Amino acid sequence: MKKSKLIAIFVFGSTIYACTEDVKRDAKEEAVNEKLTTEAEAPIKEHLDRAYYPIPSPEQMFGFISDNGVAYSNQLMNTTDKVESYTDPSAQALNFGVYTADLAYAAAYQDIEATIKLYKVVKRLGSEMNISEIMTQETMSKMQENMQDPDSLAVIAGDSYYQAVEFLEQNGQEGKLALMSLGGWIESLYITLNAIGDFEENPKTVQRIADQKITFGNLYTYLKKHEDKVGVEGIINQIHDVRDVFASLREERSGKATNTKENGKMVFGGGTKIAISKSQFENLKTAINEFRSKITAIEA
Amino acid sequence: MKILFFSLIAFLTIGSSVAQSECHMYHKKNCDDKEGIMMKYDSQSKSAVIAKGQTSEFHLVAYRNLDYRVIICSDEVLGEQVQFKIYEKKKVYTHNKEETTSSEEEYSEESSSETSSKRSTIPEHRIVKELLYDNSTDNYSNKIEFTAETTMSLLIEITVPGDGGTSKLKLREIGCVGVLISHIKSQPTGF
Repeated sequence: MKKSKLIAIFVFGSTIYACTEDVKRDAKEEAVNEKLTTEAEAPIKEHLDRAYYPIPSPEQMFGFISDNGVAYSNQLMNTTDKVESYTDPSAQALNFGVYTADLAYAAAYQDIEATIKLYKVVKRLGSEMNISEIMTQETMSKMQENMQDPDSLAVIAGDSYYQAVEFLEQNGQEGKLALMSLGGWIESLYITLNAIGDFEENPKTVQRIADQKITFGNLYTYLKKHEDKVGVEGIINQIHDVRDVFASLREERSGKATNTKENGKMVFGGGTKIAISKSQFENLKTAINEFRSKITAIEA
Repeated sequence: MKILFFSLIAFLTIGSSVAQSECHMYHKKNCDDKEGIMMKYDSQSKSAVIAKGQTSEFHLVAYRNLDYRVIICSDEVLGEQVQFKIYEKKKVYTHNKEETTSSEEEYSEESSSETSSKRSTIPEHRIVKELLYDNSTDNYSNKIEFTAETTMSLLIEITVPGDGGTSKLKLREIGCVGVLISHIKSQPTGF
């Protein structure tokens, strides 16, 4: 009896112990599960929590200046033989942007020879940045087939920019994307500022340049968001002069935001007009030229 | 139990990357742009993974003298009533002692083009957003065409209805949302 009591106590005790251990194990596993689930969800959350700051591609600016009668000058583009000297990843990303902008410029003005040459340069630099898979032989053939169709040429040239953007985003290379966007935007502004010549010559284009203050704001925010990525902080520190000129441009509010329908078309009014004076225009030109000169310089 | 954990992790991880890669160029493949006049693709178009109950922000520069078309499209799993609002982002210079009007909301941005410059004497300002359009007052239309009178810094706020949720299986509740933007040079209307 005594023995059987002992056995019963042992069995009961073991059961209780086992249950407690099970509960503990379950709690522990649940905690681990919770932790792992949270970790597994992290990439999703990281992706979801983003705010998006897309930058208009350079081709939009060149389409605009071409429509507004600004003359073409192939001297303004970065020389293609410099491509070999860009070996540092940040310099490659910046100049990938520069060359894609040049490609869009040449295509917008139907400079076929330069377009082909630049396409090869972009493809080569893309390959060094491991994004060559987006620029296939098929695209190259398509480009050669559409040589006589300027619109198609511009679309194909623009596509290489969009594909690069998509590729870098998909592969979590936002730092390179930020640098590439900056390089492309700087080049489009450099070409525009130097192609129009005098401040008085083309008021519409001058206004478009002033409006770049908004684009710069988005671009700068995007750079700041990724300043922890390689090369981004360094470039932010070099862009103060450009930033200061844009900051000095006065913004004139023309009233409350409105939303009206005119002839069936919705018109967003109110808004802000950004004003630029002749001296600010010259200051911006100097700041952009200096910055562009730094990023396209041959590495020592 | 362990097998179950790792299956779950693998499912979530693979699922997450699948979801993200499935959203790649989602706007180009799924946002129907066949109606209306032909416009040029705008590189500011974008696709993203969004969860039910979540609001995502999308920044857009709309240039004057261009007509824009914005089409929002989304996976069926997210429901039919995806809400989107378009705001104009504006700076309000604080030294002017301007008051925020009822239609304006404070908007916090990590860093604008003019904040925290060490070398500039830049006026202090806040960013506010003013509502221009809300598709919930337009029968949840997924498309809008507009012209901007001046170049505008716009913010598109996309909200997918639903419980933000405490469920761990987020995969059931996420889907792709595409924002397809196209533009064309404004044509004068009338005689």
